[in-house]
Amino acid sequence: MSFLAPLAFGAGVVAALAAVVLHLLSTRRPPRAVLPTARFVPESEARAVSRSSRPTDRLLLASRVLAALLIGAAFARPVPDAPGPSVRHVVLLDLSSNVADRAAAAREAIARAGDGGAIVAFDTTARRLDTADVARPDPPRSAPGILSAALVAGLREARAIARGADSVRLVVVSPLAEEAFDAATAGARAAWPGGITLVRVPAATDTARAPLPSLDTPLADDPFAPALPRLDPARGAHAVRIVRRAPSAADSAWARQAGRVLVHWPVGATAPASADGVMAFGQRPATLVAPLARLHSVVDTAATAPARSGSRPAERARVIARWRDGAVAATERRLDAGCVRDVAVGVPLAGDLTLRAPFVAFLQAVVEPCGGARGATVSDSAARAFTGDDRAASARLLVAAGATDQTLAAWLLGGALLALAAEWAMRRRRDA
Amino acid sequence: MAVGPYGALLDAVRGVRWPARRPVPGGAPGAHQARTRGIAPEFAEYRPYRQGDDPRRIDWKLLARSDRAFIRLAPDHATLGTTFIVDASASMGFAGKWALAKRLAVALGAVAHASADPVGLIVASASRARRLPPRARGGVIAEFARTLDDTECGGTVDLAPLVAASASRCVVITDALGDADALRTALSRHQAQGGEAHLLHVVARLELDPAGDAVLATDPEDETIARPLVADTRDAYRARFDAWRGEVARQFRADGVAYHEVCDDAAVEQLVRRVVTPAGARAEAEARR
Repeated sequence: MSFLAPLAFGAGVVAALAAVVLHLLSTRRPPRAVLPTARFVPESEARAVSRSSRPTDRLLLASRVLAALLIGAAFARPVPDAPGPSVRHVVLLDLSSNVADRAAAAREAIARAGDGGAIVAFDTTARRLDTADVARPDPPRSAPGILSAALVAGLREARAIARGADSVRLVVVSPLAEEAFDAATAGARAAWPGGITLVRVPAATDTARAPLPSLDTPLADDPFAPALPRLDPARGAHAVRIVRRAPSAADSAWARQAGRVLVHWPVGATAPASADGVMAFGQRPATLVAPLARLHSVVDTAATAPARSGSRPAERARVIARWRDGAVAATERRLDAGCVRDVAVGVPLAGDLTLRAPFVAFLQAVVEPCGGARGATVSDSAARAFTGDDRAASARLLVAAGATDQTLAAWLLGGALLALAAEWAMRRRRDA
Repeated sequence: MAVGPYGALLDAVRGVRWPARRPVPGGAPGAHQARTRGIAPEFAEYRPYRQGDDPRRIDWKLLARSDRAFIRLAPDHATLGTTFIVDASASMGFAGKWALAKRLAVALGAVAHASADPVGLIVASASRARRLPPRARGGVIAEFARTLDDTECGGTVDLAPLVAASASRCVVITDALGDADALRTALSRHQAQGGEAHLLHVVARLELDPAGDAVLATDPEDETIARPLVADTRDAYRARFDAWRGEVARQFRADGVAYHEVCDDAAVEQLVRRVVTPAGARAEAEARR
């Protein structure tokens, strides 16, 4: 038996020691004795100090000590000890489409779970799986993995297996794709009272070959045209339309379809004399330094401003590129199943900038699928911030946070009541 | 005479005499010098014959020699009735006080009875006062013993009213923890009426020197008196008790009462000899020691 609140048991021990001391130093009424000449004894308090090296009323003392210890133990939230490994593992296994080799990830999860551990598989939902279910080949899933749901399920499983263990270690077997993080992830992570062991497995990447982006431009000799064939064909199976004018209703209707990206990249004004820098945050970040014009009217600053209270975060635009001074250079807005991207980077109409590799890389980041390229994972520093240190969570903390079994405490309290009743009976018999 | 456990004690005090402290009133012939003159063989003095005297008491030889009629006088002796008033209150049941009181009453009764004095007994207990009127017949001492042995100590008693029913010599055996002042007044009045008063003040060794354990001392005759007798209060208790005993002895002696303090661990036969010894002789003996 161990205690979740050992201070309460310590208080019980202190009370028991105090009872022993009081029995050694107690002032009590001395026994009555007949003395006919009692009238000559000076009048004084009828209770006299009686100190002894051995405690008085040892049965009474024993009942009091027993009651104090039992009450202290009952309020110390006792939990019974059960045999088993001192450290148990809860493995969160990512089975989403972001995992390149789910069989290898499953093997890793089984090896990490060990004896007495639990495996929680997650994609958009999280569920506990037996070892056999994990090892069985699983049909490929296209759903993304939601880490917050997995953390909540893992916490629940950890509380279930924490009884009888000293600590529980949480292992995440996942590539930690960016899409696995949502608004609830931070809260779910904070609920776990320990560190997380991260086993990063390779992320899946899109291998489908996408068609060339279509270019809708008012210019007869648009410099983007020679750049489009230079894009990586294995960037994904989504359709991209680059509109170099104001988008029409037909463009918006087209962009509402799933797997479509409408890029609104107006023709720039006159290029400035000095060079400027812009960086796109794609799967492979790209930096472009050239005499670029800042098209402030293109980017909706209100959409990129910090969310005010009451506004829905989902409506905010995602920044996909910034100027070197931090100003927003390109944003992405969801539009039903598709999305619209506004690029406020004025590319000079003359020159060979669009033929150079930095521009092609920048363009590659701009034409990624909605929400970013699949397989994009968080950086190592972000992963370290998520996992924290590698320490396991105390089983006591986990059981304390969950619903504890009050049966043992109830028995202890019952024993304490019996001891108190015996103490009361002995005290009455002694005073009679 | 069936005296049970008192046989050895009676053997020890056999031959002891208990003379009166002063001449007794006339009465039946006895061992004590009487205040009257009688016709005993011992010559004391002559007195001229007066009309009404018994002519048989005229000394005829002196009449023949002097032709004057004289009456021949001799010292008279009479008996002295003795009543023992024994306190059987609850306080007398403590330690060996009651046993000592019984043995003193039996032994002194036997001493007085040996001088042909009538002896009586009044046992004052809470339930009732058992009385044996003064008698000189044989077997009265055995009756003493039975009466005392049948008595249980308990309650509180007033001894003073019983003194009025006493014979000339009144012997009170008590611990003086009851009506001591009233008793002193009654005995003083008894003395003034020509009687003889003795007070045997019984104390227990445990009262003089209580045991060292801390106790809540309780008066058996008054439950409201319960005081802790501990190391801090024991010396003060002894001082108070000694002072009280000294004051009681002084007051009784000042009133002419023969006061004797007797302790329950003393030999009874020695106490008997001390009681029966006249005060003057006792003072001489103490001076010789």
